Amino acid sequence: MNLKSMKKKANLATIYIISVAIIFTILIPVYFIFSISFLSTREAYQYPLPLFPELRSKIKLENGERGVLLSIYDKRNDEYETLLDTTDFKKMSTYMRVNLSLNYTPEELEEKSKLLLTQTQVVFKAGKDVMHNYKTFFQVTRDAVPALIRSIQIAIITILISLSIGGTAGYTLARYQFKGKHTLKFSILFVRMFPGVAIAMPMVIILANMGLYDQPLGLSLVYSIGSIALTTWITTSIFLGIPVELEEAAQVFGATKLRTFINITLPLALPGLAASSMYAFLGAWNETISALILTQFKPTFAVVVYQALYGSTGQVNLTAAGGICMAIPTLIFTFIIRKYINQMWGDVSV
Amino acid sequence: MATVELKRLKKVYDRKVEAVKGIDLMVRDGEFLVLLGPSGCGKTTTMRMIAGLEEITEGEVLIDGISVGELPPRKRNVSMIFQNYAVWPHMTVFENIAYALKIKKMDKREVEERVKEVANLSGIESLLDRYPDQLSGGQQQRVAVARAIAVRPKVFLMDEPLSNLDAKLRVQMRTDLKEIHRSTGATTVFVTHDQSEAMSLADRIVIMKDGAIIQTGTPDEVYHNSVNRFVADFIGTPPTNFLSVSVGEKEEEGYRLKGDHLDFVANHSSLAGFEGKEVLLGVRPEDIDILEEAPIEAVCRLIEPQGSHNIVSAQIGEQRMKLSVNPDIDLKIDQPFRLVFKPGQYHFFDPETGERLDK
Ligand SMILES: Nc1ncnc2c1ncn2[C@@H]1O[C@H](COP(=O)(O)OP(=O)(O)OP(=O)(O)O)[C@@H](O)[C@H]1O
Ligand SMILES: [Mg+2]
Repeated sequence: MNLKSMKKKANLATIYIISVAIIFTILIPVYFIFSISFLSTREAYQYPLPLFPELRSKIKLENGERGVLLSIYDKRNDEYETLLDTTDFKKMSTYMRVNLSLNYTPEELEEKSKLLLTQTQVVFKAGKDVMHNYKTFFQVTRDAVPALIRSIQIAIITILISLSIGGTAGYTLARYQFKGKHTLKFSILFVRMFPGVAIAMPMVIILANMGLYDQPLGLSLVYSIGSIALTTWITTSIFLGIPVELEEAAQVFGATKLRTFINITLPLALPGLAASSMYAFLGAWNETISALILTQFKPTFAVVVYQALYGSTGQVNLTAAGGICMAIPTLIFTFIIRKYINQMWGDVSV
Repeated sequence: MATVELKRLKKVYDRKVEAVKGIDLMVRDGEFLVLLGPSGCGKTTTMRMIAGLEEITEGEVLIDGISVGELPPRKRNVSMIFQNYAVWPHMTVFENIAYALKIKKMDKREVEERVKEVANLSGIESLLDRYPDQLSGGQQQRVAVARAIAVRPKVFLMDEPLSNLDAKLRVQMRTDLKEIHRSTGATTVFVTHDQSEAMSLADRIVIMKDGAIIQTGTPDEVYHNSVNRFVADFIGTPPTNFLSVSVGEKEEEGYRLKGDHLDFVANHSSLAGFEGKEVLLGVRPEDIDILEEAPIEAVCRLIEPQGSHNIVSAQIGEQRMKLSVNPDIDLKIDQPFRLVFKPGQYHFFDPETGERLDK
């Protein structure tokens, strides 16, 4: 083996190591939040955190000092951990549901404990309600479902605003020559130099004056500020990449300017528009700080998830479930838009 | 069918670049007219003003006698072939060709028939389902041609449609374009900076320079009767040879011309008034004969075989010229030989203005 091929292999190995490292740094946190969202509260507060959520728990009922003694088998220590000693089966049922994600009615528990009259202990395997956190999240958090709907509304309005305004600006910058064009193009980026919070403060007053405070439309407007700038930049380069001749040909062959735009320019710009709308969507969907400031009774989903962590309900596993719920629309949106982003035509590229 | 007329047509870019300087031109019905000129002479600009893609600064464009200056491209009934093809990459070949027909709300079956017909004419009938990025450059060019003829326009505009093709394909497409023109009979304006393309395609050639028309004529006219030095030099491969000679007194058989290693008599009435002055003699490479007892002595410096003929570089004194020579004539490098300009086949040009003297 000569030096050259060894060098090549070494390079390849380095690339592999780096890619694997990148994948792990991305995947591990994702895996963790995914896994935590299925943990019961008891599991979630164990240290170290279990890597996999248990799907079934082994439960033991015994006669205790005060009443029935509830224990759960702990795999790690190979022993039963006593949780509760009570005669109140309602309390026991609630405890099991909240802390162990196990659904047993007080009647069922009472039925089982009757066996203790004839034997010293009752052991049974209980199937865990894996979706427990998700159900709970939507039950306990302040209007999670309306917040989800609001967030979707906000994202869609933001995409529409930034694509129509940013896209038009991008087209103008790409196709027309005018004085101060480059200054204008650069100054658009100015907006993005200010942190969202800085804009959000004065926005409270402006939106309040417009009657849009605590309204989805108001938030969309605020989010559009940033994404219009980005959309303008992305679409400018997209439109620059579409040869003018393609549009001129359409006009010579009978199309009006509008028709040319719809039939020729738009389809060719679609990948860039899709990418821009992805940015607009993510910006609007994940944003928390401005949303926290600019909403009061109508929070966005991101705010709800945030509050689940910091509010009275603060439980990591619930927050994780909320986080996963928040990621799902993003995944769906990405999946839909992916088709268009990949749809490049010949030499017209992003 | 149609005519195109340009009246004092002028284009000024950005209030300072005068790209077209007020040209007058009449394109006749069914004619294949070629706009020929060096890069930057305003050919594309002229064509785009006819198409309506460029605003007219001054003057008029008339199609069939009607001024179209105010009409958008789609209302001018012209079709265009672009230099970089400009076929739409997101449409199949069929869709590309059918696009204009669909806008005209043509019946679906009719569209299909028309597309098949023009695809046959352009030799792309087997490619109708493909996307442009699955085609070679030559095939894309044919799609552009098919798309242009499908609409049966009054006027065809072609802006260097062959310049992106390789040499062989270019010559082949030339023949095909001429064939298509013959079968459609559409008035055509064709732009090129390649003089051999112009010569082989044109009914008439319009030679442009710096935004102005220098000469208009059939290929034969511009070749054999070039109006000035620029045209004589621009047309023909190799171009016209220019020799500087001084005109002597009128003798019995004509004027005696003297130059570096040159001394012969020419009977050219156009030389009257130039006695004692320098003029430029222009002669085409094929208008020179090699003869034993010819008056001019030359030395062979270089031979470029072309198959059908040889291009010979000859040195006369300090001046060089190129001859197109029958390969049967045995010449060797550095061998002296004698030559003569075929009588009546050479012209004189004013050395200052470049104008031909016997216009
Ligand atoms: N959009 C424009 N803005 C300013 N000047 C222009 C513009 N388009 C063309 N010109 C100038 O006008 C002149 C004529 O250009 P044109 O494109 O018509 O030349 P052409 O004869 O087609 O040349 P080529 O053979 O290189 O295509 C050139 O000097 C060019 O620099
Ligand atoms: Mg040009």
